Amino acid sequence: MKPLRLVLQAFGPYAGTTELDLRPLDGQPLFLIHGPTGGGKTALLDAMCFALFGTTSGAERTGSDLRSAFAAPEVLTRVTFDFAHGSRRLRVVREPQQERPKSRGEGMTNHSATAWLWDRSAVDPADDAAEGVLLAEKVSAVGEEVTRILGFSDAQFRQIVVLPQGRFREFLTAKSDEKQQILEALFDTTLYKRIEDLLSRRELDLTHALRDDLAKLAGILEGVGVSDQPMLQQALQQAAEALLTQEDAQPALQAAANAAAVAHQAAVEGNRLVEAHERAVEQHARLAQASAAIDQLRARLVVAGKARALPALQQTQQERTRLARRAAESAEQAQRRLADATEAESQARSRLATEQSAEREQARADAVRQVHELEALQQPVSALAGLVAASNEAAAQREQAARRKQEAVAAVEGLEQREATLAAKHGELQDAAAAHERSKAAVERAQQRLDRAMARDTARGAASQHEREAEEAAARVEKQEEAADAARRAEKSLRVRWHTGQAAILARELEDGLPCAVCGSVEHPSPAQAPEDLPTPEALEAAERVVAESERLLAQLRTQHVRLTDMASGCSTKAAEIAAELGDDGELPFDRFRQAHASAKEELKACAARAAEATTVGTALQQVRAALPAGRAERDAAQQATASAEQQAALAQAAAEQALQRVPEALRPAGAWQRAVAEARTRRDQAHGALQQAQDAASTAAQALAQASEAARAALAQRTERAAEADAAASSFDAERANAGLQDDAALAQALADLAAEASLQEKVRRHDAELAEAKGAVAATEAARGDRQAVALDALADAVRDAEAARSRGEAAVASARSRREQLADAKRRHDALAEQIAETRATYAMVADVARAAKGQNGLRISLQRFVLAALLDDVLRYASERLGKMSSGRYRLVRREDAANKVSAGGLDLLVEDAYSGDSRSVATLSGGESFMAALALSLGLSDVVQALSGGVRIDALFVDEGFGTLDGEALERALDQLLGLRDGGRMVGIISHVSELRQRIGSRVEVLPSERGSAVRVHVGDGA
Amino acid sequence: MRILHTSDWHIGKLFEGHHLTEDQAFTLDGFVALAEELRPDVIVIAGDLYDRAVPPPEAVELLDRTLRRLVLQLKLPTVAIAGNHDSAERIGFGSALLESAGLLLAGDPIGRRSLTLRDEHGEVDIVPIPFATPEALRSALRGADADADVQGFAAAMQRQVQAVTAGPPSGRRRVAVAHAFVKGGSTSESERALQVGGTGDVPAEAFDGIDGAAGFDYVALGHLHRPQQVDAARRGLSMRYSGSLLPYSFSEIDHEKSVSLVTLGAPGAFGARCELAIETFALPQRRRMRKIEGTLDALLDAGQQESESARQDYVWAALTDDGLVHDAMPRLRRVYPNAVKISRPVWEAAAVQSERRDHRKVDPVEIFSDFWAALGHTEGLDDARREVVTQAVQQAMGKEVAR
Repeated sequence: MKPLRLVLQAFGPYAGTTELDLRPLDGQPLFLIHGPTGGGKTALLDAMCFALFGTTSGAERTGSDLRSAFAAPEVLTRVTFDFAHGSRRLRVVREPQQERPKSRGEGMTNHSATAWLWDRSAVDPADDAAEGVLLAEKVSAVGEEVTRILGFSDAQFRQIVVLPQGRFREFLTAKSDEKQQILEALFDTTLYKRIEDLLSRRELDLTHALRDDLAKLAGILEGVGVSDQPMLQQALQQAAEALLTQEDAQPALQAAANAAAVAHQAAVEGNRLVEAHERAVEQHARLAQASAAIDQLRARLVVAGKARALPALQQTQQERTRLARRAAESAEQAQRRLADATEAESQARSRLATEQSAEREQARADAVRQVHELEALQQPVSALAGLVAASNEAAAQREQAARRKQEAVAAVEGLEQREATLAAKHGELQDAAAAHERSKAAVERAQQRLDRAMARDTARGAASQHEREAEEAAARVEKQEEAADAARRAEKSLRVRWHTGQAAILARELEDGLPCAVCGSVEHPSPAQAPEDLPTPEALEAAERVVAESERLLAQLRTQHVRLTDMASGCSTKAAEIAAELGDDGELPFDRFRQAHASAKEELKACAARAAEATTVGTALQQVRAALPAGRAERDAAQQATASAEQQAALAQAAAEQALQRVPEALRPAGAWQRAVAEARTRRDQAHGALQQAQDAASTAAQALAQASEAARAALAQRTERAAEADAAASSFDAERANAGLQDDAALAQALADLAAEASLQEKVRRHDAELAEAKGAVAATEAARGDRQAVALDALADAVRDAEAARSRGEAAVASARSRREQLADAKRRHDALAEQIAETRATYAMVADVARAAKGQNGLRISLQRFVLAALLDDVLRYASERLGKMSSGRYRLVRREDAANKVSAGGLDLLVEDAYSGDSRSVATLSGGESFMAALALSLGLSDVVQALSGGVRIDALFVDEGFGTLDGEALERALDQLLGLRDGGRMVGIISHVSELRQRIGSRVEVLPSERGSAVRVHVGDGA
Repeated sequence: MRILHTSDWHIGKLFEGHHLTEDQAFTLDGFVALAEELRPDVIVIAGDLYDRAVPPPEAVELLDRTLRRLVLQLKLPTVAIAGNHDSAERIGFGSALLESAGLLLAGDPIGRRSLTLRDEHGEVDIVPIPFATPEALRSALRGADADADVQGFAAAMQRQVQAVTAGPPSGRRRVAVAHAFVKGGSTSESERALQVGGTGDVPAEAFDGIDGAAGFDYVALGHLHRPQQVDAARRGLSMRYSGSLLPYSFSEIDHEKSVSLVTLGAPGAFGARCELAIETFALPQRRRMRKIEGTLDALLDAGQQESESARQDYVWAALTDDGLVHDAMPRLRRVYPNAVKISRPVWEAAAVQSERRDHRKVDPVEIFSDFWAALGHTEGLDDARREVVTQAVQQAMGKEVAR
C-alpha cells in the first residue's frame, strides 16, 4: 500500500479542503512530517487509517470526533485517499456519521456514514477528478474489500504499517496468538492449516471406520447366535452333521405318503359314480312333472295364431278417427276468420272516404302556401343577422378605445406627480457632495495629529530610558574611577618598591670608596635595603598595563555616559518640539487625539451616506423626465382612436336598424325564421302523408277479405272427407274380429297378449321337450357305469393320507433348515474372516495417521503445530533481517530471537520474542528494554517484516511505513544510526514517512511535509528535497 | 608561502556514548604546540569544526580556547569554513568582527570574502568555500536576487566556485578551502552522508576554472577522514584531504592522523599551477582505538598483562565464544574501562549461513519432513507416513487450486 494523494475536508484541524499530494515524494525513500504541536501531523495518519478502515491510527479518536471544529456547518467531513497497491491504483472516499444543516428548513439532520471504493488503474494518472470503476459502495462493503485487497485488517495495519505515537511496541510485545494472526495475514500459511485439518479429519474418519467395522464383526457373530470365532466354527460343524442325518431319513417317509394317497384316491372314485347315477334319476322325475303345464301352453299358442291380423286393423281405425276430428276443428276456425276480415274491410273504406273529403283538401293546400311564403323571406333575414353582428363588434371596439384613453391619461398624471416630488428632494441634497469632501479632509487632519502625538510620546519614552541608562553609566564611571585610582596607587607602590629595589641592587654594588652611580657620593652611610617583595619587571609591566587598561576603560565609560546623556536630552528636545507643533493641544494625552480621529471618521461615514442618496435621487429624476414625453404622446393617440371608434359604431347601428324593418317582428329573433320554415314544411308533409296512408289501408283490407273466404271454403270440404274415411276403418276391424271368434273382450286381450309373447312361449315348450329327452339318456348311462358299487366312508383313509403327508413334509423342512443353517454359518465365517483382516489393516493405517495428525496439530514434544512451525520459520527469517538492522542500530549490542522453550508446557507459544544482549550475554524479554531501545527494536522489527514481505512474491505488500514520533527517545548517536537504517531503504521502492519534532531531523531530511496551523484551520506544504 | 592544512575536528563528538572532548583537547594542545613550532603563514581548517549544529558548551569552550591561542597569542592568521556537520549561520556569527583580528570564519555559501597574503613571489588568495546543500545554496541565491536554478551537488559546487573566482585570471596564486566529497576519495564509517540517498559527490573538475579563469593552485579539502590525495595522477599534489583530528570510528584505526604543511612555490607560467611541497606531521592521540578478538577469558587474561595506559584504549572486543557469555561487558570493563563495543562473529556467521527459503516455493511435503525432524524423529519420515502426508498435501492444494 503506497499512498499517493490525500484530500481532507473538514477533518481534524483541517477546516476547508486540504490536499496533500505525495506523488512528488515518490522517488524519495524518506520524508519528514513536521510542524507545531497540535498542528495536524498525526491527523494526516489518522485520515489515512480512517479512509481505509473507518478507524484512526491510535484507535482512540472515533469517527464523529474527527469533524473539524473550524469548519462551516454546511461543509461535510470527508476524506479522499488515493493509493497504489502493486500496479493497481485505488481511491477510497469516506464520510463519517455527522450532523449537517437540513436542505429545507432550519436545524440539523443526521448524515450517516458513507464510503466508496474505486479502481482507477485505467484512468490517466494526471487526471485527479476522474473516478474510475466503482468497486464497493457501502461502509461495510468497502471495509471488507479494502481488507481483502490489502491483505490485513485495521488492527494489523496499525501494528505493522503504522507505528503509532506511544504504541509502537505493540507488535514487539504482542502475545503469540496475535503475532500468529498478523503473520498469517502477511504470509499466507493457510495451506498448512488445511493440511493439519485434513490429517485430523482422516484420523477421525479412520476411527469411525474402525468402530463401525468392529460393530459389524460383532453383528455377524450375533447374527448367527455365537459370541466368538471358535464357537462359530463349532456350530458350523454341528450343522453339517445334522443335515446329513435328515437327508438319510427322507426317502422312507416319501414312500409311505405315496401309498396312502393311492388308496384314498380309489375310494373317492367309487363314491363319485354312485352319486352320479342317483342324481340323473332325480332329474328325470322332476321334468316329467312339469309336462302338464307345458301342454296347456301349447293350446294357447294355437289360438293366438288366429288373431294375427287384428292389431294392425285396430291401429288404422284409431288413426283415421283422430284425423277426422282435427279437420272439423280447422273448418270452424276458418269461418271465424272470414267474419273478422269482412268487418275490417268496411272500416278501411269509410276512413278513406273521410280523407278524400273537401275540408282535408283545403287544409293541404294551405300548408303548401305557407311554406312558399316563408321561403321568400330567406334573404332579408340573413342580411339582418350580418348587420347586427357588425354593429355589436363596432360597439366593442369603441369600449376598448375608451379604456385605453383612460389608462394613458392616468399614466401621464402619475409621471407628472413623481417628477414634482423628486425635483423637490434633489434640491434638498445639493450640498451633500460638498459636505462629503469637507469631512474627508477633516479625517486626514485628525490622522496627522494622531501620528504626531504618537511620535511625541515615543520620544518622551526614549528620553526617560536614556536618562536611566545615563545614570547607570555615571555609576559605572564612578566605580571605574575608584578602580583606576586603586590601580594607579598599586602601580605607584610597585614602582616605588621597584625603585627602592633598584636602589638596593645598586646599593649591593656599592663599595666604600667608589662613587655611587646615582649621586656620586663615595660614602654610603645608609645603603638602600631591598624590600622583601621586589617586583619583577614583568610585574611592573603588568601593573602598568592594568593601569592603562583601567584608564582606557574609564575613558570608555565616561564617553558612554556622555553619549547617553546627550541622547536623553536629544529625545526630550524632540518631544518638546512636537508638542509645540501641536499647539494648544500639545499636552493633551494620546487618547484624546485618538477620540478626535474616531469622531471625524464617524462624521465622514454620515456624509458619505448622504452623498450616495443624492446621487440616487438625481438618477431617478432623470429617468422620470425621460419617460414623460412618451406617455403624453400615447394619451393623445388614444383619444383620437376613441373618437373614430365611436363614429364607426353609430354607422353600423343605423344599417342594422334599417334591415330590421324588412323582417316581420315574429321572425326577427335569431333562428325564428328557420324554425317557422321547418314547422310549415313538416305540416305540409304530414297532410299529404295521411291521405296516402288511408288509401293503402283500404286496398290491403280488400285483399285480406278475399283470402279469408277462400280458406273457409277449403276447410269445410276437408272435414267431410276425413269423416268418411274413419267410418270405413271401423267396419273392417269388426269383421276380422268375428272371424277369429274373439267376441269376448277378455279372450281378445289374452290372445293379443299371447301373440305378442309368441316367440318366448314357443321357446319354453321346445326346451322342456329337449331336457326331458336328455334326462332319459343320462339315467341309462350312469346306471351302466355304476355297476354294483356302493358308497364307502372316506374319513379313515383321508386321515391316513394326511398323517403320512405331514410326516413327509416335516422331514423335508428339517432337511431344508439344516441346510440353510449350515449355509448361514459358512457365510458368516467367510465374512468374519475377511472383515477381521480388513480391521487389522485399518488399525495399522490408523496408528500411522494418528501419529502424523496429532503431531501436525501440536500434540508433540515441542507443543508446536505445523502451521506454527512454518510461521516460526518465517518469523525466524523476519528476525534475521530485523536483527541485522537492530545490530547496526545498537552498534552490535542487541539482536532479536524467538523464544524456544520446550520445557514450558503451559503455554504452547513458539512466537514470543526475546532480546539477546551481547554485553551481558543473556536473553531477556523485550519488555526490559528502555524506551529508546524498544523503539529501535520495534523499528527494526517493522523493517524486518517489510524486508521479508518484499522478498516474497505476490500477495501482501508493505510499500510504505509510517512512524509517529519515538525518535525523541533516541540520543544523538542512536538517532544517527536509526536514520542510517531508514535512509538505506531506498532499494525496494519503499516509502517511509516520519512524524517528529526533533530538530536534528529537519536538517538531515530534505523532503518534508510541513503542517501550518492558523486560526482558520491548518494547511500543508510539500518540499521535495534533493536526492537521486 | 606555508599553509598548515587541517580539518574535521568534530569537537564535542560522542563516540559510543563517550564524550571525546578531553581527547580532542589533548590532541589540539599538540596541534597548537606544532603550530607554534612551525610558524606557518596561515592555518586553514576545512570544515566540520563541531560535530553538531548546536554543540555542547564544553565543545564551544574548547574551540574558543584553541582559536584564541592560535590567533591572539601566536598571531597566526586562520581561515575556517563551515562543514556539513556545522550550522553555517552559527559558525558565521561575528565573522565581520573577527576578520580584523585575523580570524576568517566563513559560513555564508556565496559570501565573497577571502584572505590575501604576501610572500616573496607575490600575492596569495585564500578563498573559503563553505559547505552548503543545493537547497541551502538555492535559498541564498534567491536572497541575493541571483539565478537560483541549481540542481545537485556537482552543479552547486560549480556555482560556488564560479561565484568566488569571477573575473579574469589575475596571475595570483589561489588556494581554495572547501568541504565536499570528491569522487575517488575513500570513505570511513564516521562520515555522514551528504544527501538522502546517493553520495552527494562532486567531480574533481568542479574546482577547475571556467571560461578561461584559472582554477586553484591548491584545494584544501575537508569531509573525508582519511588523509589522502585526490586524483593524484592528473592533479599531482594539488587536491588533498588533511584527514580528521582523531579517529572517529573503528574503520579509522589504521589511519595515521595528521595535519599537512603545504609549501607554495613561485606562480606557474601561463596559468599553470605553482609548485607544491607537502609534509605531514602526526597528531598526538590520548587514547587509541583497538579491536581485539578471542574468547572472553583469553582476552581478559591477556588484558591483565598490558600496561595501564594501553588498557585505557577504546576497545572493540569480538568474542569468538560459542553459546552464551554472561556479563561480558561488565567483566570486560574491569580490565578495559573504556571498552565500547562487543560483537559476536558467531552470530553473524550463523545469520549468513542459514538458508533463506521462500516457504511458498518449497514442497509442503519437504516442509513437513523438516517439521518431523524438528520434533526429534531422527530417523526421518518413513515411506508410509510420507504417503499419508503427500495425500493430505495434494488434497489441500487441490482445494487451493479450486479456490
